[in-house]
Amino acid sequence: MSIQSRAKSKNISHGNREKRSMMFWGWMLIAPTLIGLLILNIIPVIQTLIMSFQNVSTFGESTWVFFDNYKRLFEDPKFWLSLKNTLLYGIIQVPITVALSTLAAVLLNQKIKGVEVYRVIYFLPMIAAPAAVAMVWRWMYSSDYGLINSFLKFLGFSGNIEWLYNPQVVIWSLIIVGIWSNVGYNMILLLSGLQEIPKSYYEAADLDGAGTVQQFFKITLPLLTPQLFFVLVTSIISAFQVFDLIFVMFEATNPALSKVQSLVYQFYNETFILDDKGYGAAIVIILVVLIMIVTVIQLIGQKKWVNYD
Amino acid sequence: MFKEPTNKSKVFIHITLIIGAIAMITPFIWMILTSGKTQAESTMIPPQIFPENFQWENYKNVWGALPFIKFYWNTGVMIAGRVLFSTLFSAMAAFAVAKLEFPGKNIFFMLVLTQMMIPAQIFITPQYLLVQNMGLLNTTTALIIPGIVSAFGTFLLRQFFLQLPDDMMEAAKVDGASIGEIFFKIYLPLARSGLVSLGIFTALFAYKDLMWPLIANISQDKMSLSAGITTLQGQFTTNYPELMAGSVISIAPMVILYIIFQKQFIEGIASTGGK
Amino acid sequence: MKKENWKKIFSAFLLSLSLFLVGCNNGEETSKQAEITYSIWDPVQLPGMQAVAKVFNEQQDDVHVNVEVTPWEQYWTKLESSAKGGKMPDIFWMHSNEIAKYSEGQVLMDLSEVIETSDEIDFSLFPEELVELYTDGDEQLGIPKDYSTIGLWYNKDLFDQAGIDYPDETWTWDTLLDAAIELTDQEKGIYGFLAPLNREEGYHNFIYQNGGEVLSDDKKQSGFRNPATVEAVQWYVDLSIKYGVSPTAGEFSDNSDMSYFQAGRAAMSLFGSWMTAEIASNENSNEFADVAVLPAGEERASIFNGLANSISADTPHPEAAIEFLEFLSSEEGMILQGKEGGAIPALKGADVSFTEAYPQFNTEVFIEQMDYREIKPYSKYTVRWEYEENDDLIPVFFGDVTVEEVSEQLADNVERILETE
Repeated sequence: MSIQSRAKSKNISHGNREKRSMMFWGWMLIAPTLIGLLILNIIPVIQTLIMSFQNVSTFGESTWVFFDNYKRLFEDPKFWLSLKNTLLYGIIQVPITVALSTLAAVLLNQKIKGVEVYRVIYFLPMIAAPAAVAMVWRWMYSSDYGLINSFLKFLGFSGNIEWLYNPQVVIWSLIIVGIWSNVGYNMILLLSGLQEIPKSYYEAADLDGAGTVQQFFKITLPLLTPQLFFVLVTSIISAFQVFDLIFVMFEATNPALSKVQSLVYQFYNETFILDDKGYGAAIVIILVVLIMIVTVIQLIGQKKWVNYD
Repeated sequence: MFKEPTNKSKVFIHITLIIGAIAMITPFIWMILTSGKTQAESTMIPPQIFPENFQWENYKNVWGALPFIKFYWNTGVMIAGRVLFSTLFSAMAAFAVAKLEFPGKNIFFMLVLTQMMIPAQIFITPQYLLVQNMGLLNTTTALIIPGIVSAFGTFLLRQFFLQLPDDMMEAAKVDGASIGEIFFKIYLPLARSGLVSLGIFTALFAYKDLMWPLIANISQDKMSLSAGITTLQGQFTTNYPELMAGSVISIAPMVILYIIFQKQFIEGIASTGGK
Repeated sequence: MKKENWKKIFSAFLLSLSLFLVGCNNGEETSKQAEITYSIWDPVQLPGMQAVAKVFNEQQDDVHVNVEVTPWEQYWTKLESSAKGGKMPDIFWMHSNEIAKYSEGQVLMDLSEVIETSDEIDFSLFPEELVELYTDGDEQLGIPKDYSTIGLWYNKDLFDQAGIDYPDETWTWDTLLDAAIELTDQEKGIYGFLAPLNREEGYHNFIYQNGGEVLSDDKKQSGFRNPATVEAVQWYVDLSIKYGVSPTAGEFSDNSDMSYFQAGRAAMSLFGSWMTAEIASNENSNEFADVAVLPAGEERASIFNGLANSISADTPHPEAAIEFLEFLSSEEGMILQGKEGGAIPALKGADVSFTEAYPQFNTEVFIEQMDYREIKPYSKYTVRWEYEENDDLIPVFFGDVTVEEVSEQLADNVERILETE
């Protein structure tokens, strides 16, 4: 064997060793997360899917019922109401929240005093535990002693709105709290997007004599679309999962509960209160499919309006 | 827009922002004011804004009725456990995905992305059964388990590692350092801002998590704050001053931390979104 | 090898290890004794259960019983997980809502042999519906511990003030309504009767009194297809909605029925026999309250139910647990339980010990009503259809719709659950 070829083979074996060491470390480093994801997430997805086709027994063997849970679901008026409430909540809450947080972000991106104070205050609802938030809103919504009705009365309205009991109103009560809780978070995300827009764009626009409004639509909005898209996608996903606020604001005996309960609320109730885990699994599968569809539509639709430069 | 706004538009901007700020903060102020009222004061029509004498009694009663010290402790353990494990594990995995080449990497990263897109409710029943079979329901450990690894954290930190240059790795390899050493000694410290962001994000959402603590731990002395205060409603149905006192007690620690570290909080959260 | 086998081998190993350690331990006193846990959910009944355990612990040296209370909200979750983890309490209370699940899971000890061979237990002296309730095929999974019926409690002071005779066995629905109208004083905030959305201590009694039913006998159909059922529930709802002699559902969300009654703001209300201790514990209601049989409709009826004591199938101390169960079910144990006034002992003859605990009330009516008892409706998934029934009746109790308008939907929803059984 010539010296050259020996050197070559040494090189190869060196390369192999490096490859192997890379592989070893690669697998070592991902191992905890991989194992965790498998046990806590991937296998559970399969288990939930299986459960949705079963009558899940607490101790004994679960029996296969195939599509019975789904069939029952489609015949269950409560399911259709939950689905309707969930969609309604998402479709109304998300656009309003995104619009308001964009407005707040744009205003806070100006050269004015007190930006930090505003930022801290707007983000405050995000810091509070949802149970505490829901409790104080419940109190403010009280029809007799609540701050909101008193304020409406002060403004000259009748102020007798049953925010927590009137079936026509309850979904709006929930939407208002949802907006209030989420504006700050989205605003922060959008603000960081705004701060990345180069100043020179605006300077150039100034020279062209573009007004503030024009600049907003010609520069700010298009350049903000990546953040807007992210905010929109995540907001819809989390809106479709609304649970905490409903759970605390509306007690189980509230006659208007059916007009506000979401899919996740119904899932919680069936699975953990009524111990019907198979039926609960079917509900959650529907929810996942719903979220997937909406997300995919958004991913496809983004090409039309999101500006990645 | 970076030119100084005119005075007139400044006034307009401030008015708009102040209206927003009032809407944001009123519930908190109302919570604190109500928590100091007597029950009679809280049910006056029209409402009485300020309590005559601030009723510390309400706080004493609520504090005595619920094991808040235990709630704080359980929440603290839950946050510490989740933050510690998930940031460490995520950083490891993120580094591997960003800087190493090995078979299976892409499949793993696909798993991470898939997990991020699926709503958490789909995991929760099997997770519950798992924890139940391990005999860990009603323990502080149960609170930590679902947050021990984080697909989102892996995804987020990957972005951070991608921004760091590769040549440090090559240089260290020439010096004979193993990949493990390179990760812990060189790259991990450089990703500190990412770790802090992820830590804050994890802590905040652990603190706000309600459904998991609600189902996993049913005895009161093992509950987290957010689940614990939901039991207040059962006990003080219509005594709103005491309910509000309980709410104040439960949000105070996080709000104080937030006000002290507001910059880190806001920047941390900001860096978790977008792009 | 199956997981179970490993578990067995492992526990056998642990057991022998602990025996070995105990053997080395020069025989301390505690080591000879089997410690067993008796798990219950009702704090009101704790004194009674402790009294039984105390006497039992003193009578012999082999077994020591600890009584443990877990509130109802947590009791079943806890029992379920402990059953799965193989760490159930040795002996515990069982309820009609849950028995189906536990019998299916085969986590309860079959007691039929114990009952046959025991000198202490005479099974013919227990109410047969309860015995049947805790039977699965030829397995006996619990021994009835107590029973309950529902009584018409009233406030003597309010009746005296209004000059109306106290309720008695001559009363019918009409007498009840007339008296309730008379006794209602809106200015003082006093109601003649309390009609909350409550099944066992509420409208289910009236359904059976009207010849209706909650479930069909084969447990396949909802009783809400039966006009007699609908009529009875509507009559009950009208007490608050139409006649205003009861607080409305909204008002009940602020104050419970018991708080209305104890505050002297209600002249009459239905409460189960298990609430007697609660009424006696409040010095006002102890003074002014008394109890009568339920009024008659088309027929007489009172909802009746009872708990059982069950033993874990894999308790490490089966003999000790059986010994204690025998004592609980013996005449002596039953009387000890009854004397504390928590619940009516299930054993015939021992039940009077309960009424004797309350000389101030006419509690004999609870035993009297056993003549026309109606077992609390149950099926395999009781909790689930009860939820549907409750959910559909909420708007009815708020006066938004009538029973007739929801009955069809209610029946559909209940039957959808029954179908899965």
